[in-house]
Amino acid sequence: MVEELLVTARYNAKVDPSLAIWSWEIPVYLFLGGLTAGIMCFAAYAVLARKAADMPFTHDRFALWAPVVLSVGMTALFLDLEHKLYVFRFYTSFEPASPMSWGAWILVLVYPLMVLQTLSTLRRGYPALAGWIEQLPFGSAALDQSERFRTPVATLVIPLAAGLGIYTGVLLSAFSARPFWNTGLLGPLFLVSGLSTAGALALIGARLDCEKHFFTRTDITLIGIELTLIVLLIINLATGAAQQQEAVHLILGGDYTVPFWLWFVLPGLLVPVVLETFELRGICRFSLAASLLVLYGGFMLRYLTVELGQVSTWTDYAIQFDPQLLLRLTH
Amino acid sequence: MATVQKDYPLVTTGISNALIDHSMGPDAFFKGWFIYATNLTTTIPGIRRQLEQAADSLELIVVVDTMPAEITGYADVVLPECTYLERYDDLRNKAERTPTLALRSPAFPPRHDSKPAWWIARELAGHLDLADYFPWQDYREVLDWQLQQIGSSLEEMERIGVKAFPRKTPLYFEAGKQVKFNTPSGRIELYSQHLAGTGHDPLPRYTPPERPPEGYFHLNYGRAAAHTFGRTINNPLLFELMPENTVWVHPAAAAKLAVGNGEYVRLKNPEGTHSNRIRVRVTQRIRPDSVFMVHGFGHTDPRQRLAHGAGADDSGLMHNVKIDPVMGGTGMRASFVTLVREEA
Amino acid sequence: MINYAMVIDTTACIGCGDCVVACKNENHVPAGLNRDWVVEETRGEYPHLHTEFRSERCNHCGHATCVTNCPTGASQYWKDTNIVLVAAEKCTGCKACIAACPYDARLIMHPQGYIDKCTFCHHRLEQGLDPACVSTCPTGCMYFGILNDPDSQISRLLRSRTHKTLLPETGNIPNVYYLV
Repeated sequence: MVEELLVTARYNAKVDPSLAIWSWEIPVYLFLGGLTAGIMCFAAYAVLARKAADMPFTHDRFALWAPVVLSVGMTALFLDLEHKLYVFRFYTSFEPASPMSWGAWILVLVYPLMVLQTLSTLRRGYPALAGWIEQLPFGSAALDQSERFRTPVATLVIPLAAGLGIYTGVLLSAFSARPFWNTGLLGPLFLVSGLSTAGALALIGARLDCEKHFFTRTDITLIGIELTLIVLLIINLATGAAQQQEAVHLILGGDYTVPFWLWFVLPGLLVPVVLETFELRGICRFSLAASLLVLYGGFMLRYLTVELGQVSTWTDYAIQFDPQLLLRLTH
Repeated sequence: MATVQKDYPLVTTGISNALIDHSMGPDAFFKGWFIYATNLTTTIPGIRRQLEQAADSLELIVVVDTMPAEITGYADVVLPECTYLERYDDLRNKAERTPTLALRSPAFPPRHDSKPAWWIARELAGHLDLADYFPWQDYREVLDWQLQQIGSSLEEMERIGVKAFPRKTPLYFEAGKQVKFNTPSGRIELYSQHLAGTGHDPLPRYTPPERPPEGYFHLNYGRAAAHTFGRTINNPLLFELMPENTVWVHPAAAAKLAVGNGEYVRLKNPEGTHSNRIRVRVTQRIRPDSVFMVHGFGHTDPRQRLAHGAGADDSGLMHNVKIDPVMGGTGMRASFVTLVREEA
Repeated sequence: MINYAMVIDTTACIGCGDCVVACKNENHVPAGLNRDWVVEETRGEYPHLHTEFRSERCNHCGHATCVTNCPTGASQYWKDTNIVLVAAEKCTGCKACIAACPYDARLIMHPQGYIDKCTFCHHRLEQGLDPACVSTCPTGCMYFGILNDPDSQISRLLRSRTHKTLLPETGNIPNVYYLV
């Protein structure tokens, strides 16, 4: 029997009683970041595989969604900061050992590339918007050049967007202090999830049946890979050291078992993959339900992962006194 | 003293309970109290009723303390003393293995209008026409005079702080030497003729302690390193270390009572007295038949903004106070309590 | 490279919390926040018990994951030592360092929002003084010095006494040692 408690009262905000530094802002960003990566990848794929005819939505219109989605994500990220006036500090240095620094600079590269990618098919996908841009100084030139470099841009997008998708997972997995995250499978899992959510989004935007078919097929494969990665992650933790076993127990009998399986895996992965299989076999019509469930699943994956990593810990001292009493000191 | 403490002929110092008993009513032996550095309301168990009686009949109650507490509310006059860090005190004079003198001097001047005890005493003496007994203005003069008698000075002690002196008597008795002790027979008495003569057990006789009734526990109290008795709970720095006390319960007992770690309960004694709510600590560090809590919490005065209502007071639960028949001391660990769960 | 370390004799620690109060006063830590704290660890079952008190704070790790994970370089080593400091003017409050610390040693400064923690009182070291907690300890159970000086008091203590660090398996190489 071991009793480990704090003799002197300690209640550092967001650290005690257990880590709670990142609540909804970070999962929102991670979700939208993954979604952005997937959008860019699919849009680039459509260009490189010359699918303008079979996948007009993806080829011409999808890319514009990326900067919109990412900007909302970046706003959430900014809201999370405790020292907001110093946000510019992400960009006054590069710290090669810090995945977060890598991420900050990847985003610096992603934005212009995203804009180029969007402009490269803007005339085809959004003629009214393109017309407005042509009114601006250098507007026509910008569109012309973007179209000229459509293929090289798409080539660059794939690795950079994949980097964006993966780094969100690597960022978390680099924290050795958080046993639930400290697995190499998190990066690929987040990338695959990002692609899957982008596919679901494309299903909503696409009109052509063959385009919808492509995404239904692809999404089924991606969800299959996602489920495999989740199983591998669980095996990795369950066969790991004590802290990792403790961490995975959170979803295998612990407090997060019901949320993980009943509110994430079932509605966010299993139900949509079954629905999509039925849609593919013509058993039921294309519906919004599967897409929305996949998007919901993508967010829930981030939300639960962020929380599970914070709850899993090396150090766990019981608090002995009511933290509300300490408020008397400042109120 | 012989009158007040006639039941305790062997005692040469004051016994709190006896003093208090002889302070109640218009014909009481004592007419006034000088309460120095003690929060009487919780220091002596079950005293509040007597305090109220005494407060009514005593002609004067003066409280001298460095920090306010419930007892301050009973005072006719409050004389705030500065803390030991702000004043000179008498020399610490200890024989011990190596005889030493230690100087107790201030680290900085007193704050606000608080005064050191020597100033209070000298000023009061002046008002009572007893100034002749205090032929000095500053206690430094007293200290210096005392130190001059043994070849030192205040100036030296301010420099060195502690001064050791050679022993004048041997540290140990010589082997084989005949030594006379201060007893009727002149020897060390394991069978005490003194105690036999006053009607007490000459050899200690084991009396088994009373066992708690079913569902009750021995109430044990003690101290915490963070606080000085109950006087510092309202100090912000120390309150931040330990803002409340907890009741230590053995896991087996906790399971039987269905209380969990961190839950709040009230302690109840067999007479039905309830304490303030107190947080449960389930721990192996207490016997299954006992509970433990740190003394000094459960302050009631709302002007103690931090301490008010935090934790519980143990002294109010002590229904079974045992007075030592020989020395008159207060045995405060003979009471029993049970735990009553708080609804939310 | 100067490797500072703290050595604390748990057999002489009484868990009084003076080290906590000293730190708060010395470093003007706001009410409700703590750079250091005392832990009570009890092992066994009544009546066969062993209790250990530990004064804990940032371990100024040799391989500090809070330094490697910081995206702006705000979390940094001081001069050529292992003392980890936070440059507030570089801190965005992203809290990656808090997530990276296995010891829960960091805190968010209120109300400013930058990250803060024990500094081994480097401002006192510059004056030849020990950290405030070490200086205050009433039982004298806390020691501070240079680990890579084999003749320092702490080096000699570690050679002569059984000791441990917290969670060495994290690989962070903590520099607060506990004599047991």
